[in-house]
Amino acid sequence: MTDYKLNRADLIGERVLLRPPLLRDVEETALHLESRAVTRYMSMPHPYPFAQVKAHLRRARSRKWLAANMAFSVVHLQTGKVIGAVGVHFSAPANRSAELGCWLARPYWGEGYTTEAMTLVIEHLFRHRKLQRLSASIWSPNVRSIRLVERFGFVAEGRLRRAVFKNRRWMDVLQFGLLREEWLSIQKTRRSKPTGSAIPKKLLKL
Amino acid sequence: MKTEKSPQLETARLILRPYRMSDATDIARHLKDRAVTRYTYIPHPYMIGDFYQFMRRIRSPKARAHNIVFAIVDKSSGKAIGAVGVHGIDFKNRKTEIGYWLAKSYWGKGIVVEAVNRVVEYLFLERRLQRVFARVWHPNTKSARVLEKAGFTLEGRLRRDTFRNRRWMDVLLFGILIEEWRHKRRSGTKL
Repeated sequence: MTDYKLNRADLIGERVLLRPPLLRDVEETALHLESRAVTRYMSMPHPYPFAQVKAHLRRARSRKWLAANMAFSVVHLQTGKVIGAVGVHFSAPANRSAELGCWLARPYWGEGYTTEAMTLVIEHLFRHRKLQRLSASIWSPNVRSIRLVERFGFVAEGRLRRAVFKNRRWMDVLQFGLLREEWLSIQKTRRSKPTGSAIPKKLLKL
Repeated sequence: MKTEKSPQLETARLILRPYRMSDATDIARHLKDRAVTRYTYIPHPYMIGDFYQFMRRIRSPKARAHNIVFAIVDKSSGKAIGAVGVHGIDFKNRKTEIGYWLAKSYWGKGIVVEAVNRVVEYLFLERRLQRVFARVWHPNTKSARVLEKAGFTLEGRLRRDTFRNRRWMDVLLFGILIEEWRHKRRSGTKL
């Protein structure tokens, strides 16, 4: 298990601050998660009961949870409002890898806030935590999230067919991965390489 | 939440029934073999205490609703020679993950395929799941073959996902959907 203290961090960007969630974030968080657009492609229920949001925030502050996870509230620097969240789930320490997840409040979409928040988190994990792999699971119709991770150079590695059911509909789950050296080479060129969403053929051979 | 009484399944050569405390010595003896556990999360060197700890974990009421571990029992000797584990049964999405191991002296006889086929049948028909998932660490071609024979499709490959035995390994993702399984059975592939 990782030291839980390590898993608390403040990351400061130009327009957003990422800090561990506070219990008083519950009002804003619950309000944003009322939007169906936000939770459509996440496993959270809709409607998401206030008590459950509160329980989640409380858990995200517990030592036990922090031993294998990190959580951030995304705070809009100009207004001080909570506008989203990022979660990091670490795999077994020897694997030096983690899975990322995030959401952003509907009124803030399309302005690059998620990109800024993810840049901060990805940098933190590769640079300061020395991870060697990041992964993301995205439900197949969630095109915005797919485009987001592809901009960071994530590679489509798999498609779990019909793995989730929500809103009376079956969806596939796409698996994405970004290796440390891929991230480093992108840092060098300072531009992310566009990659197609199709799973490269060579990954589907034994 | 559906909890059922411990199921017992049968095939031509095997009985599949839940792990018992009395399996401890047989199972610990087989799992001490590095060849068996190399590509699994089973600890090495394996101690009998690991078995008791595992039993405590899977028998807690919370775990029981979502996990079943079948011992593979050789009908001719009545002894446990391996296992098929069903982990994280998700009734909402009607899916689960499976894993397995077999004692080395029984390798190469199609025993795991026989056991996996029967467990998959049980999960689709009696537990009403619609998807079964399995993960294989990349160099473990024998295990990948088992899944292919059982009708699974390779769905992806997580690159350098796991570090074990001082090396990085890719993780292969396999899945089978209920209609694929039905089709395979109807088309007369031997189960």
